[in-house]
Amino acid sequence: MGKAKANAGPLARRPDNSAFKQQRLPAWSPMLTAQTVLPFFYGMAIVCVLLGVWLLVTVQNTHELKVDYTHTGSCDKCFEKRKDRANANQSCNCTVVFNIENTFKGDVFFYYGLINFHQNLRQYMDSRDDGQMIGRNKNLKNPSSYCEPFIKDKNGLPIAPCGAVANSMFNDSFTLLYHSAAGSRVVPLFRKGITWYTDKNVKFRNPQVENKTLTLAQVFEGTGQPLYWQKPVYDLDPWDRNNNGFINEDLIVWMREAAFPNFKKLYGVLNRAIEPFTDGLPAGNYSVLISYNFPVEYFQGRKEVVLSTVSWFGGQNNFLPVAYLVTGCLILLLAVILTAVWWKFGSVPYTHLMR
Amino acid sequence: MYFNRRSKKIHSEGGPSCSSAGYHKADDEMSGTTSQADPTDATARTILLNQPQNTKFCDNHVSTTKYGVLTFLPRFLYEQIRRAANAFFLFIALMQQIPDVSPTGRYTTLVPLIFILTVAGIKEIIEDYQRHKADNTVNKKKTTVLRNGAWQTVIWKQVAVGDIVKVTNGQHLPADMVIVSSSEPQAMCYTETSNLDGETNLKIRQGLPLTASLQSLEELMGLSGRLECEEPNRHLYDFTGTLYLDNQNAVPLGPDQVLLRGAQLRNTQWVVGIIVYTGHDSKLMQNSTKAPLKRSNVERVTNVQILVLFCILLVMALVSSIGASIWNKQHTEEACWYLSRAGDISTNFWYNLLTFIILYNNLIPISLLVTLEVVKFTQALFINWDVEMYYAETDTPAMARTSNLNEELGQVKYLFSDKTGTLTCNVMHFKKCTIAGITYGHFPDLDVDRSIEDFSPLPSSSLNSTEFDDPTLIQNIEKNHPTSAQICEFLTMMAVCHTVVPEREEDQLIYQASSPDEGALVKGAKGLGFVFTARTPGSVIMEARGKEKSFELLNVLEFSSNRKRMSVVVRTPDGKLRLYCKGADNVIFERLTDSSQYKELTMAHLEQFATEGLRTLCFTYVDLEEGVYQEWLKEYTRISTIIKDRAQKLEDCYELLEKVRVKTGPERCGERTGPERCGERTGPERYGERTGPEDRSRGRVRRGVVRGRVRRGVVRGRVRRGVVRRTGPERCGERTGPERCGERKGPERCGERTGPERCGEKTGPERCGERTGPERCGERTGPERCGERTGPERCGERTGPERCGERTGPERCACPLQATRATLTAHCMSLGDSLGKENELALIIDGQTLKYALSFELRQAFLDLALSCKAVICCRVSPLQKSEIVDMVKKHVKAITLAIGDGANDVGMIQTAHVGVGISGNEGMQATNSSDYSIAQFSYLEKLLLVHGAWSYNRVTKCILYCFYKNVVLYIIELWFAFVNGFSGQILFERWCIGLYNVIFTALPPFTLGIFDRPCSQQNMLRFPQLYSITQNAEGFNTKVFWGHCINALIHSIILFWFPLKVLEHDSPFNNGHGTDYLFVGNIVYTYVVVTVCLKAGMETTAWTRFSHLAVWGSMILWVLFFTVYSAFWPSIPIAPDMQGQADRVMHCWHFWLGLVLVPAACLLKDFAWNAGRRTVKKSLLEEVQELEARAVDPGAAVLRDASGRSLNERAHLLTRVFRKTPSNVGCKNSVQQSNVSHGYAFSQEEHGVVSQSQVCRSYNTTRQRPSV
Repeated sequence: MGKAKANAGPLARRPDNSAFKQQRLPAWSPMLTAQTVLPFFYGMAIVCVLLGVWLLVTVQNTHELKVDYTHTGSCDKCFEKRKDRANANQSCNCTVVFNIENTFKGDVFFYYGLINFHQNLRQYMDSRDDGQMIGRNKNLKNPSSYCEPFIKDKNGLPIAPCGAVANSMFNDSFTLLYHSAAGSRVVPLFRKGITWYTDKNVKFRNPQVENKTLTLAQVFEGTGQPLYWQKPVYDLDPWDRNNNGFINEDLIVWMREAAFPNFKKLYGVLNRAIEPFTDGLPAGNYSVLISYNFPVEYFQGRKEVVLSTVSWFGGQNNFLPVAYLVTGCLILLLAVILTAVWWKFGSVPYTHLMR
Repeated sequence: MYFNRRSKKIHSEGGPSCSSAGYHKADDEMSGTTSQADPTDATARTILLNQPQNTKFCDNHVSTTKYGVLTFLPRFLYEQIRRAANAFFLFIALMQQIPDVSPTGRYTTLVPLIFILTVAGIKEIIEDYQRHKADNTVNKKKTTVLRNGAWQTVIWKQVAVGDIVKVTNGQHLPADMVIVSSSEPQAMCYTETSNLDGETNLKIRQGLPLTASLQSLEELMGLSGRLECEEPNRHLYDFTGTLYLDNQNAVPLGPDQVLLRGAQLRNTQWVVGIIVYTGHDSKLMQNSTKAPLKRSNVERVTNVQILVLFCILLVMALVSSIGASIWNKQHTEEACWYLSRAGDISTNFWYNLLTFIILYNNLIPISLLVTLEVVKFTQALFINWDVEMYYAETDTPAMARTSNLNEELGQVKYLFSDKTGTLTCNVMHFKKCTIAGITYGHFPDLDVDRSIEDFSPLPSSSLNSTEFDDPTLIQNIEKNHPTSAQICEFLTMMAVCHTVVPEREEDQLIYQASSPDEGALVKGAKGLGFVFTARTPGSVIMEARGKEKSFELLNVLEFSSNRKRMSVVVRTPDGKLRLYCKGADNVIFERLTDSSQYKELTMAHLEQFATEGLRTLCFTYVDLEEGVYQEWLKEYTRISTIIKDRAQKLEDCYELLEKVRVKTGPERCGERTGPERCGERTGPERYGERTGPEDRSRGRVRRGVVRGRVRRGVVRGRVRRGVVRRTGPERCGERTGPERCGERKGPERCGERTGPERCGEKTGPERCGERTGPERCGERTGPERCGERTGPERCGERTGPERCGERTGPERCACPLQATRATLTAHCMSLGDSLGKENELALIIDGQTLKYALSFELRQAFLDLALSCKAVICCRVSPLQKSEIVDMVKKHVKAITLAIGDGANDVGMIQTAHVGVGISGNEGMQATNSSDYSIAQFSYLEKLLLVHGAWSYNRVTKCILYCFYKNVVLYIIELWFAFVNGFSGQILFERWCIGLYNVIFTALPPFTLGIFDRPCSQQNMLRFPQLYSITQNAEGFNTKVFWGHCINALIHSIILFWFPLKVLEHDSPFNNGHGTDYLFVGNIVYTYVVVTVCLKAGMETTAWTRFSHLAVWGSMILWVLFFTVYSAFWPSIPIAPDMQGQADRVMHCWHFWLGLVLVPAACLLKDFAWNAGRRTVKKSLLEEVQELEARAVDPGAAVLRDASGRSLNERAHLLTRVFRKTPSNVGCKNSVQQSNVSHGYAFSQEEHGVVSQSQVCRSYNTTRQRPSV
């Protein structure tokens, strides 16, 4: 419209006779009739059912064991103790015993789980400063206002890491013991390598001071530790100097906020280099020695330890295979119904056109 | 000479009465818009001649643009924000600025909103730029102005009040001006004012005698004094002013001295005038009112649905806030030690409500408005681009002047059409004549023609066939056939009795006729060797078969629509006094002596011509005796000087002579008069088919559209304006009447056509028609008639042919209102149960009766009756009535109305109807300018409605439904998520992903749906007009469909959220045991949503063009790309820290891939199965056509086969019917013999003009060269 045509003349305003302008673009018109969709339906049904069966078999080969230790066994006393905030600084250790009936073959993952802990509340999720976590010195001393009210400690020092998320970091620690005929031994766990690569290497960095090599403690000088923490951020892992500060893997894992109120987070991975764990966790009796710090009774929460093996597509979860099977069956059902309908009505003449 | 002066005097004295007549006309024409201040309270403006003005007047720069450079932003923003949806999003954007309230950050609404406003802004700029360009072209037109003592060429913009301007032939006038002098005698000039009032006949304007001689440069420069006139106003036919020339008496100026901007100078070499109103002060600009803003039905429904969605949104927000309150109550601050609730606003109910409103705000699709605008804009372009709606002869493509009514075109149920010029082209050709009982002109091709035209896709331009083509006529003259003398007389009459002015241009004779009929006759005569060559003030010169003859012109007895005839008194070359008269048959027949020969025969021939749809008129002549003439002349002279009722008295006086004439020479009458009838071809209106090509096509349409429709009975009642609702084919017979009335003339004719009557016309039977009301109209006008004929009988309603008889007798009644009521009631009663249903009836009503029928108390009854008929034809209605009828139907019937017309008198109804279509034809631009769509040919209406309308509707509604669907799908997920996150207002997705959802990731599919979707091919849309009923009945878009989509979206959102939730809730979706976070879930869900929604668009698409592929697959790819890139932003680009590394993790998650197959399949297979099942069980017509199309089977062939050839036969059937219906139709026959039947004499000539017809004849001397400046 309005475009000046080169060919002035009697037919200057004649529209182009192009397929586009005359709306005659070649087009494929899918016909959603029974004949055309039926093969697709049957194909889809078969694929779904087969996939479902395969997934189901795969899932059956994985193991998962959940041990709720909220107030089981000796943890009961700790549970009581944590009810009173005044005891927050007193340590409390307890042990939970459990039994593995079948060997957990392959890689075994040690998770801690929280029930009814809402990491997905908006006020909670926003309460963090990613700028601080990436090691920006400015944010270190001057955390974002989103962290409110976990910005400054009693002494007026900026908190590092600030915010509700970091403040509420899960601080129970676990030692898994294997009780065999040969006696009890600690099950070796890798406490590193439990985070996403990008988190460890990109998203979380410790602050640096230019041209100086400072210890972490010096770097974090002038900041306070989160209110509920027992240790400062640069001292989270007493055994591995390199696993401290913002790049502490437990912290990183915690900072990935869960979508649902019931969640589990990776705590460690079985070190299979050491006998007798080369094949995974052998069947037998186990106990977990727990340093019980994290209070859950306020929000009617529960804590658990989860041991799990994984298949190629992750941990044990029956939903996906079942969903495939059910969907596959439904599609099959639809297909059968459609087929029936088609048999019955498929040759209806063109009543409208004939009218 | 004597007459000459006399008539001039008459004229000047007659001035006031003329202008008052003109004023009434203006009132009529602008009825809808005029109710403004009286001209009386206007203060005067004073214009100084040839010196600088004291006051500053508006300059001649004209601007129709909406925005200026500076005003663009504020005005545009204001316009946009006024729309509820935009205001809502602005509100959301503002609310997001409150700290801690918005779950989605501060700018996630603002940015898309700005983006969308930018798109809308660009569209506005493009449109406004085009207006600007058009203005510029106008403002830069050149004209000649007297400046600094010389004629200078300046552009229009620079023309100022008080300038003396010279305009030459064919130019448009740059501003309103008062005529000083012209090249023509007595400062006369012709203008064509079609731009102003839509009338194509030439109007004569005349300067003051005082200034008529001021022609040379020096004289003009010497002009001094002042001119006073009223302030600018919009009355086209009104002007008062006074010219004070130095040393002269003041002279009054009236509308006759004024030439208006927009008019075109014709037939006049040049005219010089003084500019009085410029630019926006000119009458043209004062009249350019903004067309009322029309909103389409779909838009209204959409708005309601948006409102409903808004309510749902509020409910959801309320529910969520209540949920939040409950959750907060259960989770005290103590319990949520990990939260910091101190001073937090999250516990405040109202803040929460706001939060949730922000969270769910996009339930209302933010992009819908702009998407629709772009979609409709493109659809409008498609209309403009349609080569099948391009009329090569005038180089006119169709034009969508507004784009927001496209879908309305798909829903039209009632069609109101103007008849003259719309259905017909108002192109006249001399086709046939009957002289002394012998008919000439071609008949035989009647049927051939018809059938060809019926089916040939494009009318072949057989212009030749439109001309009179019968060698026997000439042969009869040459071979001295017994009637040879009569033939010559007849042709002489054709060449002499008229007001046409010949112009010689390079050996070419050009006839300037202000009435097309006269032009046609003179041209017809010329073709037969009787060439009208020149006019001098006292005579008419013609060449009869090579011999030059000069007829002394003694008197012109003017035409008026009351008299319906026009005569001239001449002295023939052999010295006889003779009166030539032409006029409507009934008028002429009345005046014939009983002894006239050929009366019966001629009558029969006339019948026949009329049946063919020709416009007919009769010629007669009589030799006057010297004495009688002198006596009459005395009387005439006396009367022409009296003041009171002069016009009427003059008419009476004319009558005297014409009567006399009949009385006097009985022998003459006998032979001569009656018989020569000349069937004149009015082609168009009459049989569209018959005349010029254009007509044909018009003809075709009617038939096409209508017939198809009719036939299948699907589309009912479409046409009205004459209101017509469509009848079945059988109807044809009866139906014809109507168009008859249509023909009947003039603007007020709105005989309208709709399909059916079309059929009717074709059938010949118009006879019946005549009988009933309509032709009545004609008669009614004659003064004699007045008494008898009041409204009531008018409303002849025609039920079947048998009825015809009854109907004719006028039920006379003293009180027209009561009579009308009685008639209406009687008809309603007779309809009984079928009242309100569509019956095979046509209702014919004329303007006079309509006045009563539309009165408050009768309105309902009339409407009931009208709606019970398939067609309603209103004749002789005023423009105001036209729009009243449209308005009535619009208000009382929930249906979309379309009005189509081509003249200024149609403007009212065009603006009133839901959709107004203007024919950009011969009658000027008025209708076009006030229309929503303009097409060059009536026949294009078929494609406009059946293809563009139906497609646009289909596309727009799909687009709207889809936009709702995709937003509901995504945003309801937030609600589901609220159930697991303690109603805290947390979003599942990354904020910008949400923000860009409508703007990027799912922006394209609505466009392809809205622009490229097409359920079946154009050919089939045209072929099966029944398909139109799908859109007409809004089967694709109504509350049910809307809720269906919403519920479907709800189900999809449930699947889309709960599937991934269940899959991912165990938190170890990787084979390395790593965990996830909420965004991981969110991104997976989001990806599923995008995929599902795009596939859903694919499912809705009936025609996958390359653009559809691009949109469906492209959107998905776009999201994946964005996702990948966006996940790597942090920390280099300081946004979206949560997204860091997400894409990598999601793509490495097998759960994601497995779900990607399962989730969209689970959502869509249900839809698939449902569609396929329904389609298998019961196909709709559309689906049947689609299937055949897909199988490359010609659906038409299938129909033929299936219907065992019935449809083919139908055509033949129709044709036979046509021919069976001869004039000797049973019921109608009697009335034929009452000789008061009129056959459609039409003269579209300016009556009571500034310059009388006789003056026109007298003031020209085409034998001499005209002066030039």
